[in-house]
Amino acid sequence: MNNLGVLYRYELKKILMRKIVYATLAICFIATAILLIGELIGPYYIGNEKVDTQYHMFLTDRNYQKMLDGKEIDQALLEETIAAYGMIPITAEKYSATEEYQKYARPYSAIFNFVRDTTHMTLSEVLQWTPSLDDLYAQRQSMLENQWISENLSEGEKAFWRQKEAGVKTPFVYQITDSYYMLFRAVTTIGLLVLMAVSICLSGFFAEEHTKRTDQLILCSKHGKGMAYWAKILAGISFAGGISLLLSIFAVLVSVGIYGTDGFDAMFQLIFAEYSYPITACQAVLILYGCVIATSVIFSTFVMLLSEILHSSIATLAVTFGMLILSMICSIPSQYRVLAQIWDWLPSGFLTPWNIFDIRLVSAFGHYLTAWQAVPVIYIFAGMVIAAVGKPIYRHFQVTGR
Amino acid sequence: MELVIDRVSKQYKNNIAVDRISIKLLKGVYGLLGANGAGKTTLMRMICGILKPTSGTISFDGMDVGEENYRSVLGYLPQDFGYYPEFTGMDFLLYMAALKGIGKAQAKRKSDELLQLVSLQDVAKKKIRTYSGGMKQRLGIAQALLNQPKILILDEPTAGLDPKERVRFRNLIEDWGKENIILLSTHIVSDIEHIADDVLMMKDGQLIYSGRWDAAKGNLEDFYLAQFGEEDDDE
Repeated sequence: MNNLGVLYRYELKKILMRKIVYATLAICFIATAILLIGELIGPYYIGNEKVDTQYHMFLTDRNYQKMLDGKEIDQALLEETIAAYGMIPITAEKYSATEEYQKYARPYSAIFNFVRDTTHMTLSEVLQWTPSLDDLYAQRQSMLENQWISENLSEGEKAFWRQKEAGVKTPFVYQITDSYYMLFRAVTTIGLLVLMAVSICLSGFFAEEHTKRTDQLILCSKHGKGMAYWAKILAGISFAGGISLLLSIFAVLVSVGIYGTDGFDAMFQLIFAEYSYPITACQAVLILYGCVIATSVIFSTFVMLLSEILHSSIATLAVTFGMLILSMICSIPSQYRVLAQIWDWLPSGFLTPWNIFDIRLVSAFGHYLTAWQAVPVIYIFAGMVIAAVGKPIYRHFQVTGR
Repeated sequence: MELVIDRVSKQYKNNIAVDRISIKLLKGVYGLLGANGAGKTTLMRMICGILKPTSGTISFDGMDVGEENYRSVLGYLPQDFGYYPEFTGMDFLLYMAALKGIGKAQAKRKSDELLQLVSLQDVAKKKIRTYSGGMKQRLGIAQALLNQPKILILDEPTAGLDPKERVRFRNLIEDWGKENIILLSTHIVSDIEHIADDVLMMKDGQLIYSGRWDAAKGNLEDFYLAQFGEEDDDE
């Protein structure tokens, strides 16, 4: 009799009946909401002077952005922008505090920021720049080439990105992308929250069968050494996937609820100029949060394996949190290309926009794959290996002592 | 129906917990007696396949203890084991039934039947964390019987049971033992006298007595005390 479905439901029940799960999830949801709403709360300062509220600043900027929404970033718009910024007195200590900025330049700040992001020009360089559409794209190409060199890309990789860059729709059309930009920025924190929640909720999943002494009953039953293991793994994986999906949906709802759905089909380069893949802002967000789900799944298999090996939820938690902290504080210099790439793509550190949209590629079967294409596939295989490694450890557990 | 334990030993570093035990168990109830540390629980765990012997083999009708088929005819009540406090009694039995490979409909029917048998039918929907020690022990007995085991291993099954429950348990075991192999350990010699067909006595990992016990051999408790003396006072 195949009882995998029944066992799976009971294993899921074991996870969901723990109070710590709900406490952890509540914290994750609250933190996500604060992360997305927080920028609109409180006063806005220039220097030490309170000049406005964050929310009013947002509304003002949003109104200016609406006037630019849907406009092609062409020669005329570039000229208008630079001319408006040219009104700001060069002697001004803080340009955003000047009346000229508020009156003339601020309506064009979105385009000004786009130019800076696209070219990596400094503030003074942009102010002295003679606006030219050709020069804008030439500088963008130069900025990209410099990135490729600094990341030690091979000629093949450079050719790949040149081809992708050619597919990016230009001239760019300005669109409001606040919602997607916020989700783009929030992915690192949300990813970290998900991984921490997975660690907390699953660190005792296998270990507690041993500490609670229920292992004896399980291991001497017909399916206790085989099907029960897979039911546990499936329950852990679906729990991790489930909470990351829920949190992602919540983040999208909050962001869309506050900032709207505008910019659905905007080019992703309006948000992340350094990336050449021709995708829209919405597609980029789907990729980002798809990676959060994939990472949470592989991370859950790792947490469960540790839980079975260490027989202690605290020890498992210590190791997994240690790994998360290590990935935040340590990095490998980019000249050690392979090591740096492996380190950055480990589940504990992968969930950042610059890693998910990494320009370093993986070569497979004569094709290049981007990080967001390769890593989820690698994670699936790694997850299967981790689960397979855990099986004999679980199966051959010896009930001694007590 | 034959459970063969052939020269089974278990050694932990310098300590021999079970020392070359060989015995064949046929249908019936076997009472396992021994002081603390005699090796009873270790032997039972090895019979249940959750502890690997250092040497020797255990098989039932040709099936090795490590096989799934062996585990499907096994029922085990450990001496001290945990529950899932947030599960109800019924949940626990249905979960154990699924582990034992029993289909949904049969699992429900069997669980109802066993909850009735151990007088837990009224609290079947209550969470286990609300159960008393005796109720938990009865639930443990019920789970051991779910798959109608041919081999039933009970480690201190009467612990926590009140006198009335103990009598009910004895009757249950007596019936079950007519068609199956039951090995039970207990500290209460009178339980063995009342239930067991055969007595197995362990000391320092070795089997020092194995066989029927009748009145002609005298009082079992006296014999037991003579073997273990002061040692048993600790139990």
